[in-house]
Amino acid sequence: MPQRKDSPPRLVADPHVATPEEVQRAYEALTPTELIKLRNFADRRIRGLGRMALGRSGDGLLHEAITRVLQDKRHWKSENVDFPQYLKGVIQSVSSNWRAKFQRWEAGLGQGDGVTINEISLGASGPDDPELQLTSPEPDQERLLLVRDEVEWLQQLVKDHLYASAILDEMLEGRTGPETQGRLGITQTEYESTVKWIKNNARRAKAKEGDNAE
Amino acid sequence: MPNRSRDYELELFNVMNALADVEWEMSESEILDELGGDGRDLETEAESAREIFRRAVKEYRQAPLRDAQKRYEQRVSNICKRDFRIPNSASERRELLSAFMARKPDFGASILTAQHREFKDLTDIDVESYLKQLTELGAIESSSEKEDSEL
Repeated sequence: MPQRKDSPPRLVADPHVATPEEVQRAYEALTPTELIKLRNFADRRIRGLGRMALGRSGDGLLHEAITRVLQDKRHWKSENVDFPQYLKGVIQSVSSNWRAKFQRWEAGLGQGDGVTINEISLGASGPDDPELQLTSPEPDQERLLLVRDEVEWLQQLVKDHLYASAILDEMLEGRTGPETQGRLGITQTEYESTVKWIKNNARRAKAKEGDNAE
Repeated sequence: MPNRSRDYELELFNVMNALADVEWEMSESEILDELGGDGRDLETEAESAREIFRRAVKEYRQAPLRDAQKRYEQRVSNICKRDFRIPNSASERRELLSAFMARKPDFGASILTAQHREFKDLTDIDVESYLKQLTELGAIESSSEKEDSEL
């Protein structure tokens, strides 16, 4: 039976699901490194969403994930998975849901109609959905050009590096690390060090351009 | 022109997610190096992230209070929309509320919200709202009822 979000104590306790108090203790126990990793992870997910984030920040995504855990919309079974890993999964799930929801909403509108979005609910359906006031989205063509530029800029950045170029192609296709390693016949270390190389190169290049965004 | 056959938004989404996964596996020393390179400090950054958790927990714990506030405001709004026969002038209304408070100080104090513990601080609108609430509760009679009972 779903629990009302405003009633923290569970009426019927499931011994395998952490209580809000246990969740709070778990977040208080997070190390500085874990906190930064969670925040970075949320930031990346938001950047991946692009306009579909509808102006939300990585901090907003992290906040939403924590809230959903506390509201018992996501059950953490502490015996099965550690808290940082679990929260990472919630961040991933929430951001994917936002993307899917945006796409369903946009498909319903008809893309490229040039309409103005006044507001759209992003959270789970319910009266407490956070709502954002939005300005009109960029024209379809201009938006696509910006994203295309970003992708092609990355491809250009790695074009002289065999591994990086091949790995980026796999990443663009949405393949996971293990899938990419299997397809390219490289080790996990080679994969990770090359992805970090791409990331650091992009950061340096952006810094050179005087742009904060990677 | 963008290549229509490619979904650039999906591609960027995929790349960012792959980067997120690799960053997730970074060691503490790598994170420290990265932060140091940007002139940032581990503890400061972590504290700022922890603040997001604190805020979320606080908001969660205060959710029942916010709901109660919403219900209260809705109730007051509904009451204010009703047609009560209370004195027309602000001074008469203030006088009526003042007289009621003097007669029943405990009851009166119990309906005043925390920010209005000082009667003299009430605006004319507050006075009107409290009179309507008291009338709704039956604590005071509206003018018409009073007139009716006097007939």
